[in-house]
Amino acid sequence: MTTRRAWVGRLREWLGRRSDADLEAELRSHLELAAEDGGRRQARLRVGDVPRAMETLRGVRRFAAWRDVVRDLRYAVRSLRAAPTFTIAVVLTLALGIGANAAIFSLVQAVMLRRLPLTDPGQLHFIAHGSGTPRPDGTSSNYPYFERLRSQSTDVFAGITAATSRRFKVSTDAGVEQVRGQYVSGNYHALLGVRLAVGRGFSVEDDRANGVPAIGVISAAYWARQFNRRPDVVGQTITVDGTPVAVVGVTAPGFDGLDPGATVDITVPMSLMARHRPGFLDAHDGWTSLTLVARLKPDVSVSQATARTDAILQQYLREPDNVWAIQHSNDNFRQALLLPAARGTAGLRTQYGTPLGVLMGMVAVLLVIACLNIANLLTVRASARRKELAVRLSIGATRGRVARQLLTEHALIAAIGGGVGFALAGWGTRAVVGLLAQGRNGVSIDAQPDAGVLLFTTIVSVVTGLVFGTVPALRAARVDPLLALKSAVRHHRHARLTGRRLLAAGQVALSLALLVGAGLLVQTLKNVRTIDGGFQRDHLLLFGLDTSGTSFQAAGLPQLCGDLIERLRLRPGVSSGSCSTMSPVDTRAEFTGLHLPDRPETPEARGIYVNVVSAGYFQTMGIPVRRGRAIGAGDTGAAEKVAVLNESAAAFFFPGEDPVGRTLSFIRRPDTMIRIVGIVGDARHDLRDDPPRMVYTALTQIQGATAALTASVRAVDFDTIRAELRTEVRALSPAVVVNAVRTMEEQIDEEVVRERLLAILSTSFGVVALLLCCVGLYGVMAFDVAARHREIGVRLALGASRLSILLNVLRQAAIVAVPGLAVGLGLAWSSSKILEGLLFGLPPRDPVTLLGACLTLGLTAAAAALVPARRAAQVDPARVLRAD
Amino acid sequence: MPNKDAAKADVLQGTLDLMVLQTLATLGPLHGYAIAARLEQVSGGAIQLNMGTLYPALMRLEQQRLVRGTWGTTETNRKARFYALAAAGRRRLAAERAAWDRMSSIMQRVLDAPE
Repeated sequence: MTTRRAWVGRLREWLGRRSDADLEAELRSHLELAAEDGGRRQARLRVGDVPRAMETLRGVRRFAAWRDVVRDLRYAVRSLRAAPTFTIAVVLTLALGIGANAAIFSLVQAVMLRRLPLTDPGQLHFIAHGSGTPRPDGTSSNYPYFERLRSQSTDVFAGITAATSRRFKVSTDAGVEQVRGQYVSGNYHALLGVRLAVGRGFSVEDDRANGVPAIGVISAAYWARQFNRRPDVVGQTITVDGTPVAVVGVTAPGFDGLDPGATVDITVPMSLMARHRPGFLDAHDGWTSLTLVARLKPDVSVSQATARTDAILQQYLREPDNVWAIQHSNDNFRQALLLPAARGTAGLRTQYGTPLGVLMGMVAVLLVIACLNIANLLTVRASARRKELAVRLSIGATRGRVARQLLTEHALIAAIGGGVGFALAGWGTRAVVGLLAQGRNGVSIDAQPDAGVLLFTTIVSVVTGLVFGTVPALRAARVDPLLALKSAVRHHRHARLTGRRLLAAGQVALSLALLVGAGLLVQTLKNVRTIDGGFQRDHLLLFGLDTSGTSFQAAGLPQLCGDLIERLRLRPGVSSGSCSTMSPVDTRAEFTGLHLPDRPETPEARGIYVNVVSAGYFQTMGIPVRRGRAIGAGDTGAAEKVAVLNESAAAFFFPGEDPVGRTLSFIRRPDTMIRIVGIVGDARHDLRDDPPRMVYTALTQIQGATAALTASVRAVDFDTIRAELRTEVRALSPAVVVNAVRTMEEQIDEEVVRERLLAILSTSFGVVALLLCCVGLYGVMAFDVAARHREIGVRLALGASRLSILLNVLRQAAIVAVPGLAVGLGLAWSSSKILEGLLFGLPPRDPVTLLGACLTLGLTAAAAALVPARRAAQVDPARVLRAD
Repeated sequence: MPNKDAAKADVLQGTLDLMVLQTLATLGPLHGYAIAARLEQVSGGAIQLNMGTLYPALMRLEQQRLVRGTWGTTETNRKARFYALAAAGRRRLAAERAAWDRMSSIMQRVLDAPE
């Protein structure tokens, strides 16, 4: 036999399993020997034949193996039930660790990994553009560009579809509400392969401009919400932005549009744009938020298609009508790009990618801490069962059998822990998804644990079980029966304790790293929330006014606003009110281009924030006026056009000079001169960024069309106002829709939902880690004290003070905890880079946080060690000596 | 296996184990055929073991580490697997013998009890 086969054979022997070939050889030799004795035919009659004997042997082997497994399991269940506290502690610890991992993985899968449920999503690409630099690529386009692409790229694309999203005003019998929707081109459903639950999707004929009754497709969620999932929904009419739309289909659940997180409830054909926003389809003097998705032809490569698209883009830009594109566009439109669309647009992934990654890391560390705890507990339990194992070994069980039985027990624990963890994960994921879905711009994620998460949980449970279960099982099986039965504790104490001390120290180190992370993230939340935004955030109520489809277009808005504010100011406690197109810390932002006379064009001037406000805006928001005056009642439509700059804009465009009195104009209307009448303080738009440069113009002198306003009211108490807001507005005009009523505090809360998520979760993980760490440390010290019971008694008898005993135990605890803290600090220090992008207002190696975490962990560890220490100090020496 | 057969097989299995262990204790290491031949001889032909009965028992005994099996050669220069009694096997043999003696004496007393 070769050496390898010899080794395999030896391994087989150890396991007690012989190969089929080996067995068969033995049977044949038996037959031969029988033939020797009395002839071949006789032999077979006497001893039977080889195949049948092999069958029997195989059957017996299978039966024995199965019986062993069943017996092991039964024994495992019995021994776990006999120690309920232990079992519950271990299962709970494991469930928390595995459950947290499964929950975060659910989120990761839903946000980062899931592909859209379309046909062959790998072939779909967004048509985008970039400048070749690391700046984020844009996916905007415009309709004429889409038309050119559609007709000229048939050699590389099987088709292109366009979509643009919008908040529709939908009136049904129940009332008027704002619904997220999109306009799409006729081939949207067919090209993407959207699955429909009821009815049909669009066809190219449905996208004709005139003469065709308007149709629409609704989402499964909307069908449930608005129509109670009635089966005859096809043919029902809803009024979308004033147009009656007949429902022709319902999308199957799972697909809510191309933007993950933003559910699209109503889809209507692009041709409807001609009625709602005339000019959109012909407008080629700007880029709009039209998203283009193309399906690659099967044999075409991405680079081929990109080259073709780029050629079409360059050609389009060179058309004589498109001079604006070269002049006023920024660098982002240098070249065309194709971005993979299999997972939808990248907004949600970019926003939550790093946070989720950090959370996965934290939760993995938590699981390791839990495993260390469980390994500790198992070691204690094994040493307590030493006698039982010794008995089993002495009556003939092999070490392999004993180890296998213990492994079965540990596997069972892992399985139960994993199962409970999976259930917990469902609850946890729901809580997180609920948090993210709050607010006007809440993100809707479907993160219910599915088969993928189940697979993940199973793998994690198996690996965890192996990690914490193997070593204790093997060690326990190495018990020497003779020594164990003699009930001498001392022989094994030393070796066990070092191992357990290491485990406990490891827990301390990892827990410290988690606590530091949690501390940093909580402080980040506090910093972002409390930063001075340049305005007064308290006692401020905001709400949206949607005037689209009413008679209050541009000209009537100031009147509506004025009347509304007047009515509200009649109420007690209301100090001021105003309307505007933007508010601080808002997700909406409008840009425009400034044209300053006698000044060279700068790229910064092309993209400045513009906020159109009514009189009293700055007073309502609490933004101080630094120079000149604010926009006031005198700035009517007939008067000279005025504007106000914020400090950053003034400093940038007029360094060292006084801008008040100067004029400027906007790029779109370069002939209309506007006079600067004041400078106001900076107000932040995104709390995390510096305040942007902003120009304010008057609502009464508005130059563009707008239908949506944000109204703001400063008042002492909002409860009655909030309740009666809609009545007040309806009194002025029944068609104006009030939406998104929120206080400024609530708006800020929505803004920081990402930081809140990180702070809440990391703190939870940190607290659990702290608890586990304390339990682990307590366990080690308690074991130590119990093992040294006699020694302590002797010491006390010889005259040592109780205090010295107490300090001694504490010192033992310190020997474990202090190196753990040191290693933990090292871990936190070296891994600080990971959190860099998520922090605000403090460095990743913030000394205060590091110190705070050390203190917290140190004090908790001291408290955990104090209990066994006191018990040690209370040992009765007389009793100890007598018992010996 | 239907239940009755299983029960019968269990009884046979227990006694067969004991017989094999005793044979090995008496005669030292033997190969499978020799064990079967010996048992046939000692029982006066009452016990005739075919391969399908003997080898499951030997496999079980080996798995429980009561016997140790190694390949060797017979006197007639044939390859055969020899089984030797292990220390655990010796202990099990003693225990099983004691149990058997106890049971048979009780049975004796019960069956012969006067009315």
